Amino acid sequence: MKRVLSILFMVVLLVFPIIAKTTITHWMHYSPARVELILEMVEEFMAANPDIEIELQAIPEGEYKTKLLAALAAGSGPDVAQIPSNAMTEFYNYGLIQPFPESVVTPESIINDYIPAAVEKLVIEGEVYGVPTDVQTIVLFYNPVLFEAAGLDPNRPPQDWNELIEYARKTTIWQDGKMVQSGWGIAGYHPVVETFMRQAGATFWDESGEKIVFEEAQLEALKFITDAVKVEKVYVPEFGSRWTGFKQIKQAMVFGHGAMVGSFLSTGSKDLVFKTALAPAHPVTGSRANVITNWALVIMSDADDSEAAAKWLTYITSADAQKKWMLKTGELPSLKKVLEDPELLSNDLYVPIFESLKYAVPTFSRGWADPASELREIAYNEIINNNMDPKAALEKAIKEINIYLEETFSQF
Amino acid sequence: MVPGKHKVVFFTGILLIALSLFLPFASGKESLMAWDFSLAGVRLPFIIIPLALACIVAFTFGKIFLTLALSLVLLIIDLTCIFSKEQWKPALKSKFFIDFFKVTWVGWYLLAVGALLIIVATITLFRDRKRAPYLFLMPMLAGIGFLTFFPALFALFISFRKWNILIANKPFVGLANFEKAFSDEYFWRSIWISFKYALGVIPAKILIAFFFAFLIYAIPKFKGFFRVVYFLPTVTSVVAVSVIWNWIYNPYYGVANYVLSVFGIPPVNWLGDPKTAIWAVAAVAVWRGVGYDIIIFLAGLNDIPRTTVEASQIDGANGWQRLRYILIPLMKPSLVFVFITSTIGAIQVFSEIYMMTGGNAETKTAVYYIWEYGFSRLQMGYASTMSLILFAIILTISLIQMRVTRLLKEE
Repeated sequence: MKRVLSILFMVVLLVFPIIAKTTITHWMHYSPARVELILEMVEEFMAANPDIEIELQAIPEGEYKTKLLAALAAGSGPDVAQIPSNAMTEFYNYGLIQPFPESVVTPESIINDYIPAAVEKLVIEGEVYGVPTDVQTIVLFYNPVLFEAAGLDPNRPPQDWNELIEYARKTTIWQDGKMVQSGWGIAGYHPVVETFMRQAGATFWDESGEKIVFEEAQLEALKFITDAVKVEKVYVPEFGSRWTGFKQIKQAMVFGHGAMVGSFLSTGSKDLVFKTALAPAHPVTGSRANVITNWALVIMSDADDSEAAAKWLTYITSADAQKKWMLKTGELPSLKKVLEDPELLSNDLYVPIFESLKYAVPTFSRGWADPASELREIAYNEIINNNMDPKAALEKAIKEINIYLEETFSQF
Repeated sequence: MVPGKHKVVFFTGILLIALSLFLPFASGKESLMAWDFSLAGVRLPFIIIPLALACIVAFTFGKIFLTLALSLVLLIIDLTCIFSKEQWKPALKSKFFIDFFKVTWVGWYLLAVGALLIIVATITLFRDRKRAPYLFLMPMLAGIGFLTFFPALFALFISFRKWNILIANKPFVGLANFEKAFSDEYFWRSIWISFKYALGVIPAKILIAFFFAFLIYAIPKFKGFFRVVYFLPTVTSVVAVSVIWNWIYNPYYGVANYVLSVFGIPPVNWLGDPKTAIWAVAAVAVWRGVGYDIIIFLAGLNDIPRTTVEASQIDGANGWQRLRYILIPLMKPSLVFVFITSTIGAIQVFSEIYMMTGGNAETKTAVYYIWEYGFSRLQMGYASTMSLILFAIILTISLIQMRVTRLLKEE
């Protein structure tokens, strides 16, 4: 009898940890640097929390949203995932996400400890529904060598729009009717377009907060960007990818996310020298606003153990974690105290990027389909490809954005 | 006379169906019996009992197909009756199968098993010789039915609704989606881009494939080797092909621009310039698809009787005359087949666009636009409507092609 009881006891001891272990399935979109880092964090977290098992699934970025959507609709989605922060309201209304337990993170800590622009969409009805990740702003990358060759001060980036276009003109080179060097690589990327619009004073929303309205400030910014291509000819679409142009030292300036630092360093020409700077200010308003975009780590409403899930998510977005994200992937920190870290501030490339967070404003975009992309898909492309009048193109884009907002948010 | 063992199975099924009416059908906040469900205003027992009785009569008189049809109707009713209850309509939204089986209870299972037993008993009544072919075909038919016909019919169903896969409420909107599609400038632009793409792909593919098929036919040496070489791109993954061609078309490092530079031609932004992007993708599709058409044409050429060709030679026809007056006319069935299938495939292009341009640079084809609407804007109802319109367009074009090619044949 004693032997039987001993065996039973040992079996229970062996089986109980397996039974008692909570498994958290985490989905993220794939990038080599991010996956490498998060796998390290998984090991560390599981060592510190032996009752929690993390199952990570990294999905190629192009397929991520489709797969996540299909899985959620079929009820086979993950426990935690990253979603675009502009999709938060939509997911909340679908009932797909649940609030973080207050035992792990409180709305007050989110509001006080994080950069406001990064968390504005993450607190809904007084509850925390997500923590920010993959935070990016818009900064200017410039090549001081090309500046110097054009007779410009290599240590002085353009301070406002007028200087921007002047520098771009001076660093653009044509030979035999063909552009061999671009002053400013432009593709109408919508966070960049929106950045210029914000600087010009655009606020986008009507009084009800349900529709986007046309504003002269939006038109001014759009015309400035498209005129740079069509009138000033500091870039032409035939020139090729603005990223490759900059990496190959054939382009003097480009706007992009801070994470491009890593890409330029690792895949740029070995002779590439570049610096970062704040986006040039509007010449009249003096605004240096730039649009912040980020994803949110959320707990799905199906997750059984929200406390374990929240513990994991706050672990990978803690101050230490954010420092690692910055150093290894270029993902900006969203915790205020990390912005003051001396190690991060010792790299000159990061200083303007961190500085840009002070001027960051959240994107007006709202919804899974990121309607702000119509600023490029319609407004920019119609002007550049089809010579449409800028005002007509902008109004067309706004009309489509409002159609999307109405069809998406009128459902709730 | 129905054999004994079939009767046992059949009447066991009937018994289970009868029992199901007295046991809970579903559980939620409260247990619900069959009596609590109704379809089209008729309570469920008043539908099940007549159907079961009709099954008994049909089975007794050996009416196999009728019995089979009635038992299938019983099964379908069992599968759908749960959704007649408002409280379980959210099962349509998400977690379809997981929530569904949480709700169903003993009575439901008995009705399902009973209907299945009747189906089995009926099928086994078919003589082996009659039954065997259908049994062999059933797995494939089931697969095609489930993966092709059912989604197509379901698309028709949801095209009349505002259907968001993440929202329980999917209201009936009548023809609103169709009205929207007919006035959607971007949808018609995407159709135009698909046509442009097709106009680039179809003639090029047919001409090049015919040329190479004729070469292989005319020069028998290394026939097998060339067939393999030309067919290889067809069997290569479209994803792998797209990635490779992305590199070939790279404005800075790509082989394509290197070749141009050898002739002193300036580099081209193949996939970024709206003037060239769609044609660049079309070229890849031609390269990839030509192998399949070569095989079809080769089969057509090999089908032409040698005696006919030799007779024309004896009559003094030269190579061009043999090609024009003998080979091409006799190749018409293959040509028609390739023409129609190439058209259907070209207008429905998606993978190459998705992988190579992401819909940018004026390459957003119809299927890409539909996919974007369904999976980015989550409007499956409207996306289904556009799919149906695209289907109607392709069907019309195919019918016209068949009519025209039949007229040419008759000449």
